[in-house]
Amino acid sequence: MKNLPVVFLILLLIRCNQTETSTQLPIYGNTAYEGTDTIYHTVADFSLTDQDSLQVTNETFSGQIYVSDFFFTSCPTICPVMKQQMLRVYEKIENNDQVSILSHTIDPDYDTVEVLKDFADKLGVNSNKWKFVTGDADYIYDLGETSYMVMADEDENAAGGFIHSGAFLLVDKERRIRGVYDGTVAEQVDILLNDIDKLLKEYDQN
Amino acid sequence: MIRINRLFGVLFLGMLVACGGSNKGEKKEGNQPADSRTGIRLKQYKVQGSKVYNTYCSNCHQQDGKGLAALYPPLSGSDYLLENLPRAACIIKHGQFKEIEVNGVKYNQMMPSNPITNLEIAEVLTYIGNTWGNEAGLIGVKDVDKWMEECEEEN
Repeated sequence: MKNLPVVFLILLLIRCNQTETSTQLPIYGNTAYEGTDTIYHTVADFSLTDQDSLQVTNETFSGQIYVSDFFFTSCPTICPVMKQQMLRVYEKIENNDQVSILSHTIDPDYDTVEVLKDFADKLGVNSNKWKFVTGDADYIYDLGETSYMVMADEDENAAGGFIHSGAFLLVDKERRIRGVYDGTVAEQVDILLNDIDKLLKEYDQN
Repeated sequence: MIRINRLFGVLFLGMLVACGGSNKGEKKEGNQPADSRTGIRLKQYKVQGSKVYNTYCSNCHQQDGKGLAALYPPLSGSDYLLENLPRAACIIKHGQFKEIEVNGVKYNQMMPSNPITNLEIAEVLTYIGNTWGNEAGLIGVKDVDKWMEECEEEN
């Protein structure tokens, strides 16, 4: 009994050591096990069109991590706040060739290539670093739900006609979701900015 | 015990007197000159107006009134806003669908209409007009009533 405090102290130390080694970001989504292999949830193959009419696929971000979100240009509610916050991400990664941003429109009928181009130009961003993509509406909603685990859909009762999540997703070089943040809250985006560095460090160490 | 009760009685009386005193103070304020009354209304309008602003405006024009890049124009130091408040009241209600020029920059992102009362327009205009260095003074609901009549004729 006398040794109890010492045991506690040792346990505490062990726990501390564990937390020190677990600075890696979590891996989101369902994980499957096949034999000795662990199979993580990944973003599916996709093909969309950006503001310069260029095709954007997973290969576009080969060897890069990226931050992804879903929005539409005529959105009167959370999107402008999201874009202001994403501009903070853009400013951080503007000169880092290992990080990109991918914004999907959920209103492709209105958000044509020309509209996205105009929007990106007015935000003052470089199209190589920040891709605004459009495509078939259902294709984009499916991609949002199944790959990025965010909701995006038409809803005539919602302001602007669409209902969607304000999430920012951090995707690693293996297409795995490594972080989910509320893109309308500055403090959450602070965490994202920090996590981008953390994730890049994982690759530095390997 | 009786003594303690008495003590409470005295305290209670004291409180009543104190409350009465502050009531008198309020009456006094009512007798002060009109510019002070305007000052109080300005403050009231600003408080209510900031709530209206956060509900309908701040998503695009942002908390600091600086707008967003070349997409949404600033309200802080905006020549377009401050030069023509009646027009601003009309836009707040009915939205803006044509290109406008603010401080030398052209903006053409559409602004939606808002389900908002004349009083709320007066409050939010007073807030916008007297925050971030803007100094438009009190915009009363009677002003807005008049402006909206002209505005409805045009719309």
